[in-house]
Amino acid sequence: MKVFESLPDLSARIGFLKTVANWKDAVSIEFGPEGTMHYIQSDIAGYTENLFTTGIREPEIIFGDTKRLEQAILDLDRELKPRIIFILSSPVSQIIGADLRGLVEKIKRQVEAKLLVWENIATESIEEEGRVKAYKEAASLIKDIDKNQKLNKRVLILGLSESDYNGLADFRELKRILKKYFNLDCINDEDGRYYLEEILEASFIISVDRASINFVKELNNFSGIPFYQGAIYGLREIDILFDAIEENLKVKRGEYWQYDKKELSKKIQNFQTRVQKYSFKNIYLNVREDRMTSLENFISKELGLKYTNDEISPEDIIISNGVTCSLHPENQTICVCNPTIEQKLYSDSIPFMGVLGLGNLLSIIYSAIIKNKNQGHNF
Amino acid sequence: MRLDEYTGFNNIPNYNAAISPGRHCPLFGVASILRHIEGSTIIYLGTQDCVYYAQKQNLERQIVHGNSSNITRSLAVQVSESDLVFGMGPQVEKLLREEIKKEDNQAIFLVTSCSIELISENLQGIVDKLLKETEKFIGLIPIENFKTFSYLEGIEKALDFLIQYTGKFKSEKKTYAILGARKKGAEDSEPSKYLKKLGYRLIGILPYNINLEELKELSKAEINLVLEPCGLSAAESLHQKYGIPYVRFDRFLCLKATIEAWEKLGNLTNKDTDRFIVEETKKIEELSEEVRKKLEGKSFFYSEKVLYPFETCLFLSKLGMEATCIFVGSSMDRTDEIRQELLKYSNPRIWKNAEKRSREKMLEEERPDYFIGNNSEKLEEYGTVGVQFPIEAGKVGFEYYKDSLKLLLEANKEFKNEGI
Repeated sequence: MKVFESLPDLSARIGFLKTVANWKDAVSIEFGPEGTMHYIQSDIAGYTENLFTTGIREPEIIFGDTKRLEQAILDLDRELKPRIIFILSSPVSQIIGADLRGLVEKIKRQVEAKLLVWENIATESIEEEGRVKAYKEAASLIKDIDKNQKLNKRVLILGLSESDYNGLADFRELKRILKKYFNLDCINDEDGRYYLEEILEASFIISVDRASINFVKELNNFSGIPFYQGAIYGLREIDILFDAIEENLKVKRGEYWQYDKKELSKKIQNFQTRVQKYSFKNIYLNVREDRMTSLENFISKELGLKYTNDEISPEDIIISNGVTCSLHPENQTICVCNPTIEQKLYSDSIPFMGVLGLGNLLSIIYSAIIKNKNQGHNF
Repeated sequence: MRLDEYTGFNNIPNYNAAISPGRHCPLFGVASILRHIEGSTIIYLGTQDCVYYAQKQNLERQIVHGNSSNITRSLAVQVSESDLVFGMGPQVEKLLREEIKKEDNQAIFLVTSCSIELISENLQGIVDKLLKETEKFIGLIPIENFKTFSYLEGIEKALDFLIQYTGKFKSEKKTYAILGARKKGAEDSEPSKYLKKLGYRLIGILPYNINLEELKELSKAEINLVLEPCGLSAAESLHQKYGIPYVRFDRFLCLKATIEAWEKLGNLTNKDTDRFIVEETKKIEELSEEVRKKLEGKSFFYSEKVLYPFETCLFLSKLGMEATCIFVGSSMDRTDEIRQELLKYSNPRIWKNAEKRSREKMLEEERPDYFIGNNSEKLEEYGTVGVQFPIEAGKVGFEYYKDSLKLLLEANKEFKNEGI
């Protein structure tokens, strides 16, 4: 038993569902109560149309009846025609010992979709475990897919979607710069979603999600698709990403890049000059691990600011997840990732990654420093 | 299933066996109430996802209201595999004892999620034992997810439960309380304004604006106003416990019930409300006639979430409309008489858990004239007009009824898109 005064960790189940939500040819159905699915859907923020629950009532509890789940699987297969149906247990179905694998054995010949069961999910887990699990399932499925001809050079972006804070805005920004500087299209749709079936058509993968690293490595081994792993905060990361694209895809970045890069460098210098007059600038930086390295480099190496991730002082500017930001209203805060408590407005339209993201970060950090100064904090 | 076959919410068939996103559960309902009760500690005991989301609600409120000392303290207690297998009684008792020792709370609410209720841990025994040792109020609120229809029952249950905390005080003349209002605005509702005008003093709004002290003294109220259905059980409990009369304004679209409510309020305040009732009824009749001219013979699908479904369909039927399909939301009528009356007008199909894509399929096939309720469908493609009745904390009584009629009158004046 663990007691939390703040928020507990998000579970592996939620990590799994948030990842599956991005797959347009997969659906998941949970054999459990309706309430948690309702919450998960609201956390994802967009109506994904591929995450389902059965709801569970007293008869199922008393008699261990799985007819409702059976009907749900048959309906989903018939109506949505997905490539894969993931069937998940819930804490409730685990307690009553519902036999999901037995059910799948019984009905698998009646359905077109591949049925994959995830049961006995750990009662205590972390979100990343679920994302790793989802990508592992994806890796096992990819081998069944015919290696399609790569008609055009297209990029797949993993780990940025509506289910993450700023995820959609960051995704759209990366998509924009790929088009602008390399004339490259993405496999993902406008919301970051994609068909598993099309993954092997990718010429290059940008993975922002650390949980997908084994998946992209397997794709690289299996199909030779090159990849870049990491978040894209700041000018250096953009340049490194662009180098990787040039090297692997044998394409040259467009000429506007040199001009834009010069402008961005000027902005960074301008920022440094303006904040120089403050004798001390401390930032508390604590974000998801797959964002951390990139942000650390940006804050310290590009902006020349000090940061800590030990303890939060009243004068610190906090760059962190939404929970930490919300719980320190006395500080200047910049939320860059989930989990969040409040529903943040505009998070889907203000990127922090890429070219526009760099400008936004400079502006928002500068604004926080000024506000802090005005509140009397001693920089 | 048709309306004439309905015997209760449990027998309403699911349109889709696979549900998305599903309804909020009673834990959400309970959490949404308790977070307002300042000066208390709430302990959510359950599996990871349940306590995560319940705690999130509390923290949301904390952020909105700031870190005041009176804020509700909440703990998310995430159980482990071994707790579920071997039990968690001693640990829960220890945790409760620690909370009892704290000075900043007067009440402790222990709320369990459905997984805990499945393993039948005797938590009530622990609570009863501790109650003998402390002056503080400790309450166990099981949510009974599998027996309930929706989160609204969780809300009602939590409000009713809170009445246990009230103490017996001498009734204060010319005071009233509002029960069931969860948002700002209840104090400006039609009946509340009326009472204020007569010099009555509002002593509390349960749950929107109340602390433990005010809750304890709720029995001082001379009259209780019920503004949302979820306040009804609490009003009934206060009536039974202290004899406080209550007036229901939760029957939003039943004119007869609204008239009865105003008559009762008139009697309780010793004022003649007849003239007001006659004037308002006349305005409503005139407005209804106008609406009837527009809506006579029009068919509709019903999909409101929190209004009483049969009452709302009857309201529309009396205006000449015909219900062809009812998708029930989170609320159900409390007696059968309205359904019986509705059957005199039509015998619509009735479903629960109909997905958006399924509703769209039905819309495409049947193309009803109106779609009443929450919708995200592309109604214009089917030539269907969407109308959603808003629920606001301060809108009840004749005001709500008139506003609903105006809403219908103004809904898509150019009725039906041509060329579809």
